[in-house]
Amino acid sequence: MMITSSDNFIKNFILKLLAFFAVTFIADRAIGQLLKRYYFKQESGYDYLTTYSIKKASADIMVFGSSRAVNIFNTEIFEEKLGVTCYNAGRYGEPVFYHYAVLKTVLKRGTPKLAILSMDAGNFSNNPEAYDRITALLPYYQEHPEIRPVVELKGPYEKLKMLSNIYPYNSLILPIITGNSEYSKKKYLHIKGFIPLKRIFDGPLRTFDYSKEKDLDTVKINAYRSFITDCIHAKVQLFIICSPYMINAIGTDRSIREAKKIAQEYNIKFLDYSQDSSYTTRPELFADYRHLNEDGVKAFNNTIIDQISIEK
Amino acid sequence: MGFDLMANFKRPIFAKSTGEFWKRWHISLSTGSKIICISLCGSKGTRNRTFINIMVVFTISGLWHGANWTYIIWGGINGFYLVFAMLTKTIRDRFNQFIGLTRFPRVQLFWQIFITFMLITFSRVFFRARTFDDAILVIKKMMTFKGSIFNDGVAILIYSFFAIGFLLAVEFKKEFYKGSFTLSQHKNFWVRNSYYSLLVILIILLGVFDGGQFIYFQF
Repeated sequence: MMITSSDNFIKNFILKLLAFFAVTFIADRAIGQLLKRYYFKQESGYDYLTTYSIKKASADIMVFGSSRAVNIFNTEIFEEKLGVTCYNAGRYGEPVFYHYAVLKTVLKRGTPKLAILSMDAGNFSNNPEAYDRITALLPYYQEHPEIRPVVELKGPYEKLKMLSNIYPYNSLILPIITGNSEYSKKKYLHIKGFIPLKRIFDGPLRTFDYSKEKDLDTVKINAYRSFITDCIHAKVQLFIICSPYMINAIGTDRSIREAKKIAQEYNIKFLDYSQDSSYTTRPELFADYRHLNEDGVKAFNNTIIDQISIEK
Repeated sequence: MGFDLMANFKRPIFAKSTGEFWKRWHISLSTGSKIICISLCGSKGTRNRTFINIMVVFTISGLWHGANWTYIIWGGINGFYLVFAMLTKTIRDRFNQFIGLTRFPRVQLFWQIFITFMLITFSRVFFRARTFDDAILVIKKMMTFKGSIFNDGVAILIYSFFAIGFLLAVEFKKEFYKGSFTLSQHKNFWVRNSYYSLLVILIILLGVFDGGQFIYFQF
């Protein structure tokens, strides 16, 4: 059989393509391993706190939520008043998917006595950015199969993308470098996950018109339901708490109403302080319109601790 | 396909004067503006008439971008740059000679590019701002050391510098060192191959796959 020049061309092309894939694959593995090593070596910063929450955190009380959990639930006050251990596993800007994923890893390791889920206005709103924020969980995808269904909500090709060792650390070079630095240790101070805010709200007072109904995202609602049912199955006492907002609200946020309704279905205690006048008339207790400051946290934490009784 | 399209941008960042900048930036629009200018006063109009026409053309060019005072001011500033440059050319040339800048052509080149870039960037404050007040606020903030240099976090600042530096290096090479980028056309197959792989790796490492990546979330 004669070998033509076109056969040679195809053979050459395939060999070159294979060589390209081989070089790319090896580089991806090597660089990915390096990034992984230094990602998990971090001792401070938001990614470090996530790693701690997912891999190690274990306490009688576990707090979940976004910045309104991180900045508002003071672990020290809970420990002192209730005589138990407490850890705040919240992360800035994260939606309910993240909280649910972290809960799953916590439940895989053990069973806290009590879980607090911080609820925000607009938690169930249609917002594509919420899916983007699942990115924070990518580095844990391989070693934590329990969070994979949550990570895969990010997009239809997530499984495929995760074949790369580098992809989970996309855009994380700088956070990895700073997370391994002394500077970061001084900058990201926390008390078992709680980060206090010292500033005082100086306005202006914003008006939120909740009377205009917005569509809700059923995927987020399902994640919220799953959070509740997983706690019930694991026999973890659950409190869902909506801390105060320093706003002029017209009506009640639809997400909060829906969350309250679902909590009632499962007989879960829902403490709604979102429009509590004992806070909303006192700007000195707020750092900004969404977050209580240190003084506000003291007052608010004491109020809710009075309503919490841990079942033995 | 038989179409011969004109180049619309020719590395304007390396322009040595605002006049040259407009020969390199949005060339199709600049050519159109030049035609308007010539049709207004002919190619041999008086000096004063030329100045007036430049101002008219740049004001119209501002309006062409949008019906807002900020665009008109932007156009006015750029027109003023050209008029000022023409009026002061002799004085500036003499001054450069006097301080000895002309004896160091590379330093002079860098200086001219730097000044042009600063002038153009300043005028763009008005182009970019939503209102005149916003533009004034931006300019005021330029003059103060109070407040954070970049509110969206250090990570974005560093990534931006990295990306700008990379693009600048490419433009710099094209402007001052003509010829192909050798790594992609290197004779050695493995060098070429590794270069292509590096590009793929960089895309996976730094590319934006969704809104959640690259952007540093604060809250």
